[in-house]
Amino acid sequence: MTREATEALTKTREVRRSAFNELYEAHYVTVLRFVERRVDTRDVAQEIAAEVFTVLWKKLDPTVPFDLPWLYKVARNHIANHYRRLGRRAAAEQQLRILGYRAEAIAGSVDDDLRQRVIDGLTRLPARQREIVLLTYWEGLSAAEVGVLLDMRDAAVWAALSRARVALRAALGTPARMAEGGTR
Amino acid sequence: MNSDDAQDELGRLLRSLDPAHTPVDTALTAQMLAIRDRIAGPAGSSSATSRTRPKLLASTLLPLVVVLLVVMGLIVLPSPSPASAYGPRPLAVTLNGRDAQRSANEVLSMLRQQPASQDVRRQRTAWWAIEMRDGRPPAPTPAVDTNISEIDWREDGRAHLVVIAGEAMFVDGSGTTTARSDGRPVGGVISDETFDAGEYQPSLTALPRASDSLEAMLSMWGLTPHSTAGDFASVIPSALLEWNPSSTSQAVLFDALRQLEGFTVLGDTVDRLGRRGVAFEATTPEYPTRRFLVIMSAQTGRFLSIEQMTVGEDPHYVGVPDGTVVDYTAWPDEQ
Repeated sequence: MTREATEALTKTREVRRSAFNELYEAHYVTVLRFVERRVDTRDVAQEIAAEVFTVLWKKLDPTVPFDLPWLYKVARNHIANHYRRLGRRAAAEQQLRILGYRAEAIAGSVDDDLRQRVIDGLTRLPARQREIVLLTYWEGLSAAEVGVLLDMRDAAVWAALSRARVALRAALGTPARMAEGGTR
Repeated sequence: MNSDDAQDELGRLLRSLDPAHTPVDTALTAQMLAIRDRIAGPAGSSSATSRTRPKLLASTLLPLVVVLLVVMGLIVLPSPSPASAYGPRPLAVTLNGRDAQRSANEVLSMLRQQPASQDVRRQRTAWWAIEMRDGRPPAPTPAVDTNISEIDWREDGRAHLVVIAGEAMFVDGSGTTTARSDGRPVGGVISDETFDAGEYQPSLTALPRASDSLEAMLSMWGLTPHSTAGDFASVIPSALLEWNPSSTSQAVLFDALRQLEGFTVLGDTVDRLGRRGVAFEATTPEYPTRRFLVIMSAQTGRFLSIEQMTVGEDPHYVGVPDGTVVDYTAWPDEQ
């Protein structure tokens, strides 16, 4: 290999590394938190988050945008594989269990009863709607971003989210006529 | 309470239930930065060039070594290594003098000669996988605990899934013991879950058919048309964990696998359940530090087991030595 070619290759590598580092620094904690919400141990969460960024490193092309929804998508696949391998319920089902642990951990406040009602409401939601609610409230994703992640159109996300909110507010005892926050 | 208040209240309650442990504003810790550098290498490093010499040396010497082993008629995949204590000893493989495509044709021929049967939504899978803790491997042990998953599911989403404690495997390959490290009795139920209609979501609602193109088949697992044998070998277990496929469907899966880059034959072996098999290796640039060993039955051609082994320093298994079996999945039942 000529010196010029070696230099060009090194430069390309450094550009990739720099792009990777930027994405890692911007999103690692977010991805880790995304995984922590869906698996029950920190070790597994760290392992899966590392796998997500390993996939990013392999696929990274600095000229192509790799955004957070893409990372979430990879993380969801790895989480699904984790549960499949353990022969356990799908990740969405596990989330309910994790929610229960969380409620126990913070028990003792005036909100206990309301929180339990929210968990009961979430339990009764179809898995897809529950996932949309949690992506919206925990990850803070917009309908468009949820749509990218779940392969749904924005309108379908909005509709599902609205239905879920109605059901959850009903679980909280909020009057149904107030419940709908608009379907846009 | 107006609609906005109700919205805020719901959002506040939901957010208070957020189970993420790591605070949102956490700066990257030294451990997180170390993970980053393990994946991409530290800035300014030139890992590719620093490895050139060993690679060249290996590429020059490897054929010579292989020829010598062929002459001796025996090759043992990294034989007793100090790494074996982290996982079961790699399987011994004997060269059989046949190339990958001839071996693959023999497997396909066996599969196609099996009596006609149906794909069954019921499967028993024996498995073990190394569990990293805080990014480090557990202490080496003389034996590792296996588990057995049994699933029976229906098209409408009903399912029954039981995980049972299996025997512990001695890592030196000398057999099994009923003394599990976790103290559970062999055969004891670890979990038992029943799913009502619509609750169980299988990985694949239908297995690929011979009429499917290779590209279509790969896309069923979300793989791209450029995927390699290692990519495919890494996802095949997800189908075999839930389906006990007919020999026809097994042939479809294996035929796809053998057409992909990174597929080679290693030779004859006996799997961890004592069954004679043919060992194939599948690799992928996605995981250059991992190789997949696919064992097909020497009697029926069916998938017997799939194992993963580290090659060099695997960023997912930091501290686990080269040549360690880190993941093992086997299907004990024929149809």
